[in-house]
Amino acid sequence: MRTLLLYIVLSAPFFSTEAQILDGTLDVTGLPNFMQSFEDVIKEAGLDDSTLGFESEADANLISFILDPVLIVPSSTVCTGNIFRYSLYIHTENSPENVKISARTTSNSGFRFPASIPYDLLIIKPLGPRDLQPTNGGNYIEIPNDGTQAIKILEFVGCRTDIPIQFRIEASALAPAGVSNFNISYTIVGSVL
Amino acid sequence: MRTSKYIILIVVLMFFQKFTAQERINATLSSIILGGGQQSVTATLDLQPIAIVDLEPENTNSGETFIVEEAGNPFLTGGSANPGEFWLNYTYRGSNLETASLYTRINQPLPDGMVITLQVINSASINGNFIPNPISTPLTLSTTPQLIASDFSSGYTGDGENTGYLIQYEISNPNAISLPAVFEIVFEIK
Repeated sequence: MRTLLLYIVLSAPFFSTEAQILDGTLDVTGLPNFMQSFEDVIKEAGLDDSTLGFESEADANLISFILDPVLIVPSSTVCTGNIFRYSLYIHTENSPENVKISARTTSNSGFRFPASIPYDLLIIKPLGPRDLQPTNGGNYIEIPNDGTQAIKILEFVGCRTDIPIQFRIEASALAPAGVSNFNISYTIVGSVL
Repeated sequence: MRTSKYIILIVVLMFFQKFTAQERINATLSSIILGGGQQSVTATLDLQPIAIVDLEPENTNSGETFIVEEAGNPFLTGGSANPGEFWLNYTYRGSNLETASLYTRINQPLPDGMVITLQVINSASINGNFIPNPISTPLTLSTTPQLIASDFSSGYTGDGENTGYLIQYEISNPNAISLPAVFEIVFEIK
C-alpha cells in the first residue's frame, strides 16, 4: 500500500503532461491605444493622478484559441472532438515605471467554437461545461511587467473565440507625460484536467 | 482504515491543487506552453501633462473658498484658519521628465504705499511624493513672477492642510487704501 501511495504522489504532477494535447493557435487582435483624456486627469491638486485612472474599451484586445487542422480535418471538427482546459496568462514588457496596468474580462465572454457540439449535451461533461471563468470574479488584475511572473486572468474549456480584454491604467504623476510603447504578452496553457 | 484516510486526503489535495496553485507562470520558458501558444501585441500609452495648484484651507472661518484648480489661475482673496498662513498643494507631471518651478505674482500693481510679502516657512508631506526645493527668503510681490520653489521633478504634495508648502503672508497698508478691483495673487507652475 505504501508503494501505491508513493506512486500516486510522485506521478500526480505528470498526469497532465503525459496526456496528448493537440496543438492550437492563439490569435490576438487589437493594438491597444491608451490615451488619457483631460477628463481622466486628477483635478484636485496634491493628489496623485493614479487615484483616478482610466479604462480602455471593453474589447481592447480580442483573444481566440482554436485547435489546428489535422491533415484535411478542419479546426471546427478537431475542436468538436477534442476538449481541453486552457488557462490564459498575461504580462507586459517594457511598460513605463509608475504606471499600474490591469486587465479583466467578464464571465463567459467570447464565443464557443463551434457554437454547439455533442459534448455540450453530455450529462456528465469530463471537463465541465465549455464556459469561461475570469480570475478574481471578473475584477481587474494587475499585470506584472515581468515575463517570469505572468498572471492568470481567465480559464476556459474547449476552443473559444473573441474573448474581450479590457484594461485599466493608473498612472502616477511620477510617470512622464507623453507617448510610450510597450508590449502586452499573452500565454495560453492547455491541460487535460 | 488509516490508509484509506490518507488516500482520500491525497485525492482531495489533488483536486484542489489546480484551484490554489500556479496563478502565475514563467512565460519566458517555452516548455510551459503545452498545447497552447504565445503572442504579443504592441500597446501605446499617452499621458497628459499635469500642472495644478491648490490653496488650503479651502473653507475658512468666513466661508470663503480659495481653491485654484488650474495652474495660473488666480488666488482671489485672503484668509486662513491661521491668519496670515495657508498651505499650497500641487500635482505636477512633466513631459520627458522635465523639471518645473513654482512662481507667484500679482496681476496688477499695488496702490502706492501698500506692500504684500510672502514667505515659504515650511514644507511637509502627508501622502505626497515630491522634492520641495523651497525658496525660503521673503518675497515682495510684484507683477513679475518670483520663485517659490525651484527645479522640482514630477510629483504631488499630498492634499489638504499640513502638506505641501506652508506660506506666510503679510500686508502692509499704512494708508488704508483698498485693493484695486479684480486684484489677484497668482500661483503657477512653469
